[in-house]
Order: sequence, then C-alpha cells, then structure tokens
Amino acid sequence: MFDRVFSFLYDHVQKRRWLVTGLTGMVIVISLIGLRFVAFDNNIELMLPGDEEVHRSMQFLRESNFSNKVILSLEMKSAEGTTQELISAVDRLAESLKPPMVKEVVTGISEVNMQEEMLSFMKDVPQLIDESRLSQIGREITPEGVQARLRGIYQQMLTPGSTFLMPFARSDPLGVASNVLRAFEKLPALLGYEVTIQNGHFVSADGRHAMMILDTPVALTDGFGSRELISYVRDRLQGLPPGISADIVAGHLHSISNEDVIKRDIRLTTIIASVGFLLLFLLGFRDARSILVFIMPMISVLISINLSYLILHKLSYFIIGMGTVIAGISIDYGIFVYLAVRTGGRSDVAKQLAKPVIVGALTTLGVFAAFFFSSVGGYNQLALFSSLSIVFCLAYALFLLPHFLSGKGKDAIPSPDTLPLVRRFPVPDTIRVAIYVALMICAGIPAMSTKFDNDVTQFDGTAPDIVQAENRFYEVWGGREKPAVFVVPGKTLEEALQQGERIYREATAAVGEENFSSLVSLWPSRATREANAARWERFWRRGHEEELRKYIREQGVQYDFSEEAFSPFFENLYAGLVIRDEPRGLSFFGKLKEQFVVKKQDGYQLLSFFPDEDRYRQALASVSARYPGTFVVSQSAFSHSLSRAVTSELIFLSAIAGVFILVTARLLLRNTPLTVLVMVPVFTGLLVILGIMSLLGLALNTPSILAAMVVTGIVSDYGIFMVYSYRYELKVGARASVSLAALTTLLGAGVLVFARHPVLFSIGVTMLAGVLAGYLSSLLIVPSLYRLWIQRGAGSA
Amino acid sequence: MLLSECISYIISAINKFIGTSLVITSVVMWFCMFVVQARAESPDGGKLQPEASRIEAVLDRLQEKMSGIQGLQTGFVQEKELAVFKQKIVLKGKVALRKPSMLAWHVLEPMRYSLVMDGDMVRQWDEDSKQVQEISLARNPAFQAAVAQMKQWFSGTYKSLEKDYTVGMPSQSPVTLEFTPREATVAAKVIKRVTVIFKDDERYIQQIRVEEQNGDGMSLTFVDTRLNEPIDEAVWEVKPRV
Repeated sequence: MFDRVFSFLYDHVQKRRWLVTGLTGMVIVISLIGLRFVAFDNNIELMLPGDEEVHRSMQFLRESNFSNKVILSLEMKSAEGTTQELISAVDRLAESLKPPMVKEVVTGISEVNMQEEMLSFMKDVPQLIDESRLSQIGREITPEGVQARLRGIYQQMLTPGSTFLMPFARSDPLGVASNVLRAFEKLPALLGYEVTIQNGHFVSADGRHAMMILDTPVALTDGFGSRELISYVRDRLQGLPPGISADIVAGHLHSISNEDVIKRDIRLTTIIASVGFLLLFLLGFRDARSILVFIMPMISVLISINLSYLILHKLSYFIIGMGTVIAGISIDYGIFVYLAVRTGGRSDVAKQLAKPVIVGALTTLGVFAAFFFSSVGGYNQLALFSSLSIVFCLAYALFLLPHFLSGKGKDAIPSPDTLPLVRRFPVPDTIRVAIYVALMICAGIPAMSTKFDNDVTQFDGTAPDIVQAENRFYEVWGGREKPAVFVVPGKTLEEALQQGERIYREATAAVGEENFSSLVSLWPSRATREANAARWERFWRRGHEEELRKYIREQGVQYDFSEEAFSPFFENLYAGLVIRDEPRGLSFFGKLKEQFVVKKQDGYQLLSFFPDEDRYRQALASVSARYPGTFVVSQSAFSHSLSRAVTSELIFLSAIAGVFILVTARLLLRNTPLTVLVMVPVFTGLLVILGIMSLLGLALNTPSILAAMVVTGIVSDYGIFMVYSYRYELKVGARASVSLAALTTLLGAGVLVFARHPVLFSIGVTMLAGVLAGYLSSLLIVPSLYRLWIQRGAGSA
Repeated sequence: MLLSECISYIISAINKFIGTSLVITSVVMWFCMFVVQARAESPDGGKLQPEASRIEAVLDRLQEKMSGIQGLQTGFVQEKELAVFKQKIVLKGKVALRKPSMLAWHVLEPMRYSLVMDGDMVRQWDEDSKQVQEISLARNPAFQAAVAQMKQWFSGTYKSLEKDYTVGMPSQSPVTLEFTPREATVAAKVIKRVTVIFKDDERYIQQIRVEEQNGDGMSLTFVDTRLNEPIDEAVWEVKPRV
C-alpha cells in the first residue's frame, strides 16, 4: 500500500512539476521576505528546564535588582594624577549617563548631612530597643554605672575628636543607641566590597580607583538590550580624560560575549561547511545539478523558520544556531536520491528508495520529536523547527529533486560496492567482524571510565578580556564571593517583616548573627516597634527618668558637667514613640531598603544574606522548610540545580528517542535480526563517542548528550539504508550515498571542533567521533554481518 | 549594598567616637595650620593690593615655607569652651609631626591621653583604660579622610584648601588667616570659622581659634615650638614609658 500511495503522489507531482516548482519558488520568495519580520528571542531562560527550583531562582534573579546593575571601576593610571582628579572625572561621567539606558548613577554618599541624619535616626531608637537591651540599660542606671559613663564622656570631650562626638554623647549618654548602630555596621558586612569614602565618593583604599554603580532597566537575560546598554556605556567612557581608564563589570557582558563567540563560531563553521559543500558537489561530481542538492537544506531551513515563527510567534537564536547541524543531516535525503538517480540512470528510481529514506527520516525525526516532551521551551522550538526542516527536505528530495535529474543512461555513474582500500585489500567477513569486536572492546575499556561533568558553568564562553577585567575589579574592591539569599515573601511589607523576624531568630541561632544579615535587625516590623516603643515609655515613666537625672546631677559634679549637658537626651526621650513606616531624616534608608526588600506586583520579598557555603545553605534550607513560601537562592547551588535538571531532562529525552528509533526500524523491517543490524552503527557510534572522550580527557556533558542523540538519528539512517539495500538488492548506489551523506554531515557538524565556544566544541567532538564510527561500521560491518548472519542463516534454513 | 556599607563605615567611626576617640577633619585642619614654615621671609612691607591677590600671595609664601619642614615638636595649651561643661577646660600637652605621615598627640593635663598615627594605622591610649587600641585607616573612611586632609596641609598645599574654605585675612600684622567652610561641605555643618594667627616672624603659628556652629569654641596656643630638630623616638610610643 505504501508503494502504491507513494507512486501515485510521485507521478502526480511529476506531471505538474513546473507548477510545483513555481509554487515552491513563490514560497521561497515569501519566506525570504518573511525573514525581515521574524523576531528572534535572545533570552537564555528559554533554554532552562522546567525545574521548579531553577525557575524560581531565575525569576528571583530577574525580578530583584541585582542583575540589572552595571559597575564601573575607574582607575587613575597617571602617576601624577590625584584622587580629586579621578573624582572629578567620575562626576562628569555620571552626568553624561542618562535615561532610558541608565536609570540612576550612584557614585558615593553625601557625608555633608550624615551627622544630622544619624542624630535624627537616634530619635527612633525607642522603637528599636528590645526588652533584653532595655533591661541591661536599667541595670546600668546606678550611681556607679552613671559615673563610669560620665567619665568616658569626659575623656572623649578632651580628645581631638570632641567636636563631632559631642552631639552624640549629649543625645545618648548611656550609649543606648550603640547596639542599633552596631546593627547598621553589620548589615552590609556580608554584601561585599571594600570601599572608602572620599569627598562623598566610593574610592579604593589606595585612592587610585573609584567606583560607580549604574542602575539600568535592562535585564542581563535580554541579549539585545544588553548589547545596546554596553555600547552606550562604552561610548560614554570615550569621554574620560587621558590617564583614566575604566573597567565595566556586568552580567550583561557575559550575555553579549557568549553570543558573540557563538555567532563567530557559527559564521566560521558555516563558511567552512559551505565551502566544503560547494567544493564537494562542484568538483567531486562536476554536475551543475548537484546545486539542487546543496540548496535543499537552506530552502527547508528558510521555510521552517517562517513557519515555526507563525506557529510559535518567537524563535530563539540558540535554536537557529543549530541550523548548520540540521543542514548537514537533512542534506542526506537529497544525496540518497541524487546518487540513486545517477546510478540507476532513471528518475523514478526514487520510488524504490522512498521507504528506506522515509523511515530514515522518521528515525531522525524521532530524535528531534522527543524534544516535544521536554519542559524546556527552547527544546520545544527545536523539535518543531527541526521536524519541519526534515519534512521539507524529505518532500523536496523525493518529490521535486528527481524530476530535474536527467534519467538518461549516459548520466549513470558507477557505484562502487565498497571503499577502494577495502577493494584492494579484501578481508573475509569473519575476520572483519572479529576485528570489529576487538575494536569495540578497545573502545569499551576507556569508555567505562568516561567522566560526567554536569556543571553548566563550564559552558560560559565569555571572552578572556572580560574575565580579566573582573579579576582586576575583585583585586581592587573585593566582593568576589557573592552571598546567598534567604527570601521571605509577604503580601505586605509588614507581613514579610514579621515573618522575617521569626526567621531571623531561628536563622541566627542556626548560623550565628554575624553570618545572617537582615533588615529586621535594624528596622523591625511595625508591630515589634510598637511594642518596643510602649515598653520604652513605661520604662522611663516609671521612675527611671528621674533616677537618671538625679545620678547625672550627682555624679556629673566632679567633671563639671553643666545642667544642660544632656538635655538633648531628655528632650527627645519620648520623641521616638511615633511609629512611622521609615525612620525619619535618613535620606539613605531608601537605598538601604532597596538591597533588602523587593517590591513585586503581588507583594513583597524580604531578602536576607548569608555566606554561600554548603553548611550555611543546609542549615538555612532546614529553616526555610519550616516556613512555606520562603526559599533560598544560591549562585553555586543554582548552577548545580540547573546542571542536574538539564541532565535528567536529556536522559529522559534520550530514552524516548532510543525507543522511537527501535520501534520505527522494527516496523519497517518486520524482522528482529535486521533491526539489530540497523542498530549496529548506533551502538558503534555511541561506544566510540564514550571511548574517544575518555581518551581525550574530555568529560561527557549535556551538550555532548544532546549531540549523541542526534548522532543516533543520523547513523541509524546509514544502517537502515544499507540493510534495506542488501535486503531488497537495490541498485541505488547505497554505499556511495552513505559515504557522501556521512561526509556532508561531518562537514556540517564536525567543523564545530574549530569552534571556540565550549558548547559548540563539545558537540563537534561528539558528532565527529560518533558519525565517523557509525559510518564506517555501516559500510564495512553491516554488510559482513548481513552476509554472515542473515544470508547464511536464510541459506541454511 | 555599597551605600549601606559606606554608612556603616561612618557609623562605625562614630561608634568608635562613643567607645574611644577619633581624629577628625577639624582636628587635622587645626594641626595642619600649626605646622610652621621653615624659613622666615620678610613680611611684605608692602603696598596695598587687591584683597584676593594679597591672600594668594600670603598663601603662596606660607606654602613655600612649609615645604622645607620635615618635622616639628611643640607644646600646646588648648582651651575648650563647651556647652556641656560649666567652665572652660584647659588641656596641656605636646604634639609631634614627621613627614610624610607620622603624628603624635599627647595630652598631659588634666588627664593623660595619647594618639599616634603612622601611615595606615592609628593607635590610642588613655590613663583610664590603660589599653592601646589600634584602628586601621583603610577600614575607617572617616579616619582616612582626616589623614588625606592632613597630608594636604602638611604638604604645604594651602591653596588647595580654597576649594573647601573661603579664606580671609583680617590682619596682615601679625598675619591672621580666617577660614570659613564653604556651604555643602561636611565641615560647614559643624565649624563656623577657623582663625589662624601667626607670630610676627611667620615662623610658626601662635594661636588657632575654632568657633563652632553650636556656639562652642576652642583655642589652641603653641609654646616652645621646634622645627626640624631630632625627635626622640619615645614620642612615637602611644603608651607612656613607666
């Protein structure tokens, strides 16, 4: 039935071949025009698996304000240059950086009003002092305690620093605020950099570097936006005076650099592959009609891009990057048909090989179709795009191409029955199989010690100069180790703060106060502040105020303190009882809060920071488990989760692809031994991949697993074609077809060994080893096994 | 995160005020003004010049004289009129300076206190606690700001102070300079005016007076000043020898 249906369609198209050609031409033109309207997506999140932890972490990083920042580190290179000149350059540069690319530039903090602001903040201390601290203060309100305090203040008044010290001493003779101010000091301890302030600017300890922080609206996962942003910043840096240089530190640079490396690799590999193809077809066959084979994958990719975009409404750059690989694969069908027609001398010989070609395409489709089952959005795109490409190639090869290949006998080319070397040195089948088994054992031994490295960070193809700039930055400013984040959500900020307080108590008990930095340690929830304020008022109004006044009067005599010496303290004793959302008079509180609170559409997230180390992560993961909705985000743990998720995803997809190939082959051949023969190139290719990687000291990783899946689809085609041609004794130039198909695939995919990007390089090595091994086994071993096992078995039966 | 870190530095500096003590900009300013020029030049007997150029000429002269000083020792009498005390406090002590970055401040009366700064480190001691505390300038921006100003004054670059202060000269004989912090500077929040009076021969400063915004005041009078003479190494020890 298959043959009847195919023959009907074939003849139908043959009669209307010019119409079909015209329609195809129109579709090509429309597709070319359509390319202008196709929007490519550069968002790397499309390639992330659907693991909950991975997505939650990515979403958090995206929605927090961490990933949008760009840091500039300016250096005064001129030996005569001064810090002040550097600071002036910073100010001029800051003025030149404007919206929409840069929302805000932070170059330091203003020290001018700092003293006033701190004194104002101290008025809110009543809300920040907890019960235990208040009790401690109560114990110090004794004649001896007050005397000790006053002596200390007296000493301080005699020192050179008294001018700036005095307002604080007068406002807080008992040092009530010292705990609170200590919390201030601890807050940023885990957050990173070693900066000093000079003239209100962030300056390094050596005074030769200044730092600027740019807040931008561009997420680092936005490839196009990142490029625009960095270009804008670089342009502004051109205005720096001579003697001052700048390093840019931003995640955006990594996005751009990886993309640039990939694009460069794609350009290079496409050029090499294209030249190779062109030389192959023009010089190898010296037949202008071979161009029809060469352009086939390009046409199918062009149409597939447009159709995929129509269905999906967006396409990822990463998927299009697989284009060269797909071109190498899908050209095989055109090669099979071309050589079959040239060998057989008739165009309708395509009908004979329709079945093996279609089944071969089905097995390859099966590999890519498995990606439809993936939770990764990008893989779904790959599945659709690849499937469409392969289907169009197949349709072109079977229904269009043969009609333009002359079926005249004089065009027939001889089809060698084996490789020239093998023809010259014939080896008996048994010996050949024995050698094969021995080689497989040799490949299998190192294959057993193949390592697996699923750390996704190894695939960062960022250019070395960017990494060097970051290393310079960390040497100057520190902050290389980023803290992990404990996230507490809440519908309102108050809810998040209250939950944050409960967690703070548990977390600091688990990991120590010095290892857990939270806003609640400085500015607790409203409920807590109300309770503290009420407690404070009761404390002082129940006699402690009078007591303190009395002791100061009595003990202060020996130091000659005036009556009004500590009036600022007593005048403001109850000023802090008014509960506000934020401390008054602290202009920088907003900036501080930005680091610890994220406002989302549906609520708030309170962020606390701790060292990103296993022991702390585990301890705080246990705390988080007791508070639903909270979670921990850790840079190092994130890459592990990502690696794990990607790997398990691919192993699942590999299993589906493997089953599909087996089932398809079995359905075609309806014979188990023949099915086993078809799988010989698959088995060989996979074993050699593992062996070669082990011998080269390379670890198996997620891109190489992906490539291995593609290899199984390709080399199974070779096995199917060879087995089918032997089974039905077809004169279709099977060996030449398989050889040429392997050569083009090696050109299309093997060129990736010249790629710089680690992902593409890994794919290149895998495909080169797997396809070559699969091809040689299909050409040399499958026929021998067929003769020894199938033919001999049928003969003896 | 940097903002909060910076705040914490300042807070920690202020905290250290509360717990200990700290050299600050105003003090450095005072010191710098006291570093006495090396060689006398005859005062300008001169003709009247426009005010700004007269002051410029004086600053140039003082700057040039200062460049020759490598070290000095001087006694001081400091009187502080602070609202927090009923009466004026009088301190007596000694100061030593050695270029490029050493400073020693020893208070002898009414109680003993010492502060010694050497490069990146500050050490202080008082007779009450009898403990020596060490403070790293690299980790204390307030200290570091003070040292930076100090270096500026000690290098003799008086003219560079004009960006933060307006300079007046109410008297030419003796030379008296009046420094008023410009608006939007840290000093302006605290200091109203600093007046420096030089001796007739301009070899050293006779007195410096500081008026603060809150009405407090201070005067520092130098006695027995010696320039470029060998300095006993014991001066650089923060803890007095028994």
